[in-house]
Amino acid sequence: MAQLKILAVDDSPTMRRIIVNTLKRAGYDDVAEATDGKDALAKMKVEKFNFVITDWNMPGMDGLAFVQALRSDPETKSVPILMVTTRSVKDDIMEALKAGVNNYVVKPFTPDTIKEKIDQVLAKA
Amino acid sequence: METNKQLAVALRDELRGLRQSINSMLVQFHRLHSPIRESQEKMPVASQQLQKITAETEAATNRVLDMAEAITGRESTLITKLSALHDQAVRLGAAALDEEISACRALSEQNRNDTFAIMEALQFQDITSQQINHTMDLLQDIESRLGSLLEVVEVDQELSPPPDKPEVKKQTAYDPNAQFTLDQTGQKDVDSVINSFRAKP
Repeated sequence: MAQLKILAVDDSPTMRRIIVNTLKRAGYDDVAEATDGKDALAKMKVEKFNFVITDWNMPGMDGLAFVQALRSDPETKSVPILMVTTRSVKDDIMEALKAGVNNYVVKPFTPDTIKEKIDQVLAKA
Repeated sequence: METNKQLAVALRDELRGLRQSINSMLVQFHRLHSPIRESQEKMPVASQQLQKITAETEAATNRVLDMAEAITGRESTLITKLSALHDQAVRLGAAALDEEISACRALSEQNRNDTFAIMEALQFQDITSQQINHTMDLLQDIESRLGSLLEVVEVDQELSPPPDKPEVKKQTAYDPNAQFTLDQTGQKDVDSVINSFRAKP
């Protein structure tokens, strides 16, 4: 199993716990958490994460703004990003892809889907 | 001269009619005041109840997660120990014992998988809290509009003090279209969109 250092970003503490448990089940033990885009950016300045999983709807800096910030910074522009959100309309998916997410998962998700999407992103990286 | 008199009478009658209409409207406004005020005062109560629901379901969900994490942790330990016993049984050539150990390990793995499935189902809490936040925003919008209506109907009344402002809602973000469905149809549709996007030259 590739050694990933993952940052999971979601304003819901419950959802963060579920994501962390899902990642552990998939074999990814090195997972840190952030509460929104601003918190995530601050954490990324301190530690080197090589994979980001982010929600979209978050107060303060939302997921889309966070992705755009990552892609506009030379230090983080290549970090793989998986968006995990309740938004499922086509326009939103397209907007996220254009902003630079590598893949997109709708909630509620299964562990198999998360694992599959992480594998797909890493295969293309 | 006669014409002017007739005009004056007609004008007086019109003005009387207009005054009666305005008085009638004022009576209707007065009647509206109480129900609108009552409705406006109930909105913050409804919002607070909804906030309470979100807080309580979040607390309950976290309690379930605590238990689920403890169970999966113990099952993982059990699976590891059973694997070690299986290795010993194989070394000793104890086929019957090995069979029992393997059966126990399979049950333990099933327990762990089912507990993970419980955790996945708890995603409902995030989704329902988004739906509740949407409802709260709608209630606040209605409250605001009722306030505007009150300003119209309080035309000749002493302005009564506005209701106590509700406590400031913590900042939240939500998807008004959030749905909770456990089938994976949504993800298949998303994958189609992504594949189409990537297929474009």
